[in-house]
Amino acid sequence: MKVCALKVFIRLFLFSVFIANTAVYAEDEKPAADQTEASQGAQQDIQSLKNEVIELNRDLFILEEDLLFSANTQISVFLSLDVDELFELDSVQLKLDDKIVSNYLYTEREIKALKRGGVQRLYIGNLTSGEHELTAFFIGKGPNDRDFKRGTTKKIEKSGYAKYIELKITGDSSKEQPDFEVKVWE
Amino acid sequence: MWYRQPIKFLLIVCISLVCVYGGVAGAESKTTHKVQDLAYGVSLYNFFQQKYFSAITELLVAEHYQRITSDDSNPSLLLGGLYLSYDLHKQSSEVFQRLLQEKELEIPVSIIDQAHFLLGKNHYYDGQYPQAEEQFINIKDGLQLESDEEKLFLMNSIFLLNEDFEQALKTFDYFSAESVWKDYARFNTASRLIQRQEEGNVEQGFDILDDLASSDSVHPEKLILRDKANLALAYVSLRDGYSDVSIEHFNKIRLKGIETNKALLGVGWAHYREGKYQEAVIPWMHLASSQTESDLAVQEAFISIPYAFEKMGLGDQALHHYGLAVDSYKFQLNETEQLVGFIKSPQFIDQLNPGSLGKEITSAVNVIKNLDPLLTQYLLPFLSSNEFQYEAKSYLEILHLKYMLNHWENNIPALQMILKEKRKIYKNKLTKTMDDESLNKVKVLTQKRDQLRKQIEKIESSEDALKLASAAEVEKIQLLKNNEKRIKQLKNSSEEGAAEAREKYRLLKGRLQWEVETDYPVRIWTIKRELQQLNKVVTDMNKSMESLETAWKSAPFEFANFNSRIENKESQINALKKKIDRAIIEQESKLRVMALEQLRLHRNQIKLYHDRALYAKARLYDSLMERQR
Repeated sequence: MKVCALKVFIRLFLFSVFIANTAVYAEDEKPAADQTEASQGAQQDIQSLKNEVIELNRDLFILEEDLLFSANTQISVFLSLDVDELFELDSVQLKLDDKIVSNYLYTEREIKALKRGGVQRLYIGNLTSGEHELTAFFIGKGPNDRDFKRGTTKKIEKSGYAKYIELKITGDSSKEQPDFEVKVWE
Repeated sequence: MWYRQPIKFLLIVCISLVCVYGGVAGAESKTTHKVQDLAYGVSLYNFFQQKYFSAITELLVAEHYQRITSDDSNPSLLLGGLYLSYDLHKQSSEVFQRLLQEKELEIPVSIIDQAHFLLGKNHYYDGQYPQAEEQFINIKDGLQLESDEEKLFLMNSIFLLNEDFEQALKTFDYFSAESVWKDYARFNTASRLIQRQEEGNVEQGFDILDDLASSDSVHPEKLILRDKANLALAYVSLRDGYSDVSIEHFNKIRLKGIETNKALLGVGWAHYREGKYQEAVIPWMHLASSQTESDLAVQEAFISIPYAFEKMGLGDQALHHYGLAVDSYKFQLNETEQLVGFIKSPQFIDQLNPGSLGKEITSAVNVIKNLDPLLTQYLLPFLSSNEFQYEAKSYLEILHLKYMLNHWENNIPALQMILKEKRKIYKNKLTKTMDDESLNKVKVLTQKRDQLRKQIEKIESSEDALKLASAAEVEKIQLLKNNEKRIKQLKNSSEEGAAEAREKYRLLKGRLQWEVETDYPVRIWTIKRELQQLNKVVTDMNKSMESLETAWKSAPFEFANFNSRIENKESQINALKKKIDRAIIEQESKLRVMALEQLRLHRNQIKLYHDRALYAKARLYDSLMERQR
C-alpha cells in the first residue's frame, strides 16, 4: 500500500486533492520564487559535485589499473549467469595455480542483476607469462533444491597481453543440470 | 521534484529492455543472455543494482581503455540513461545528442527512439518544455509500450502546462485501454480543467472525474486514483450543498486507503450539514478512536465531535469531548515540541543514514524506516513526499561521494608505496641487467649470424657444392684426400692390385662429388631456409632487447608521470573533500529546515484546533453555568 501511495504522490504533478485539501491543509504554502531558485542552485551545485567526483573516480581507477595491473601481466576473471531454475548461486571460490584468490558470497540483489544479464568482475590481478591453472568452485542450490558444489578447471596460457576470462554458468535443460564453462576472451 | 523517484524505476524498465542482449522467442521460452562485451556487462551489473555511480565509472573506464568493442549504440544509450538516473541531466543530454548526431543513419530505430525519448525527458525535467516536445515528436515507432505510455503522459503534461486542453484531451486516444498512465493523465487534465473555472471546462473536468470515480479496475494504483476522484467529487458536492451526492462519493472510497480519514471526516460533515448530528458523530468517533491521532483529519474530528453533541443538545457530553480534544491537542503539542528538539539534534541526521556511509543504493523506505517512530507518526506524508525524499537521497549520495573520496584518500599512500617499490625494483634490476651477459650474448649471436649469411652468399656465388657437404661427407673427403698421395705413388706401380685401387679411388671420389653436386640445389635451399629461421629468431631477440632497453630508458619518465598523476589526484581529492564537507553541512541544514517547517505548520494547525477547543469549551461552560443559574 505504501509503495502505491508513494507512486501516486510522485506522479501527480498538479495538486492532488485540489478541493479536499483546502479544509485540511489550509496553511500549506507554495515556496517563494527565490527559495525555489536557491534550491535549484543548490541542486546544480550537488550535480556538479557528483560529476566532479565521477570524473575523479574514473581517473583514479585508470591510475590504479595502470600502476597495479599493467596490460602485459593483467588477468581479469568475470562471472556471468544464464540459468534460472536449475541453479541458485550462493558463492564462488576462485583459485589460480592452486592459490585461492577470491571467495565471493552473493546477495539477492547481485544474483538478480546477474540473472538479468549483468556480468560481475570477480577478480583482477597479475600473472607471469606462461601456463597457469584456473579453478573455480560454484556453490549453491541445484535441481530439487539440493546443495550443489561443482568445480571446473582450465589451463590458461598467459601471453604479453591482458587476459580476460569469463566463468559462465548456464543451464542444460536436456540433462536438467547446470553447466559451468570457462571462456577465454581474445 | 515529483518526477525524481520514478525515474530510476522507469529507466530500468525502458533501458534494460533495449540493453540486455537476447530476446524472448515466445511466451513460453525464457530470456537468454549472451555476453557480447564484458565491460558493458559489468556496467549493466551495477546498473541493475541501481549503483549508478559505479555503473557510470565502469563505462567511462571501459571507454578509456577502448574495451567496448561491439558496434551497436547500447553503451551510449546506457551511459546517457545512467547519467539521467544519477540526476546529471547535462551530461545525459550531451550523450544522447552525440548519439543522435553522429550515428543516426547507422543505428536501429528503436535506439534512436529511446535516445529521443530520454533526451526529451531530460528537457522536460529541466523545464525546457518546447525542446522536450520536439524530441517526443521525433519519436517514430520504436518505443516499448511502457515508454510510449510515459511519453504520452509527459506530452499530456506539456499540453496542460501550455493550457492546450484540446491537444491534452486528444492524447487520451493513444493510450492503451488499461493504461495506468492514462488514468493519471485524465486525473491531471480533470484537475486542471476544474481549476481553470471556465464554463464548459469545469463540466468536462467533472465528467472525467466521474468516469475515474466509477472505475471497476482492481489495479492498486487505479484504486488510489478512484479514491482520489471520489474524494474530490465528494468535497465539491459538499461545498455546493449536495450532501447526498457527496455521501454517495464518500461511500465509494475504500475503508483501508490513503484517503480513508479524509473521507470519514467528510462524510461526517455531510451528515452534519443535513442536520443528522448523530450520524455525523459516528465516523468522527471512529476517527478519534483510530491510532492515527497525528493525522490532521483525525485532529479535526476531535473538535468536530463536541460541535455535533452541542447541536444535539448534549452539553455535558460536548463539554467532556472538548476536554478530550484539548487534552489530545496539548499532548500532541508537547510531543511535537519534543520533535522540534529532536530535529535540531544530531540524532535526526544520524537516523537518516545509519550505517549508510558508502552505500550506493538508497530507497524511500530505507530513509523512513530508520527514523524515530514519533517523527514518522507526525510527518509521514512529508517524509514520503518526493521533495523530502529527493533531498534525503541527495544527502545520502553526497555521503557516498565522501566515502569514495575517503577510500581514495586512504589508497593514495598505498599507490605511492607501490610506485616507490617499483622504482626500487627497477634500480636493482637495472644494475643486474646492465651486468648481464645476455645483453652481450645477443650481440655475439647477431655477429655470428651475419658471418654465416656471408658464407652462404659466397657459396651460392661460387657454386662450390663441396662447401655444403655434410660432416660425414667432409670426413670421407678428408679420407680420400689423405689417401690421394698414396694412390699417386701407386700410379706407376705394377704391383698387383694397384690399378684396381686407383680405379676404386677414382670411383669413390667421383661418386662423392656427384652426390654432393647433384644435391646442391636442395642443400642450398635448406640452408637458406634455416638461415631465414635464424634471422627471425635473432630479429625477435633484438626486438625484445630493444623493447627492454626502451622500457628501461622510459621507466624513469613513467615513474615521474605516475608520481605527478598521484600528486595531482591527491590535491583534487583534498579540494573536493572540502567542497563535499560544505555540501553535507548545507544539505543537513536544508533537511532540518524542511522538517522543522513542516512541523511548524503541523503545530500551528494543532494550536488552532487547541485554541478553538479551549474557546468552545469555555463558551459552553459559561452557557451551561448560565443555564444552571
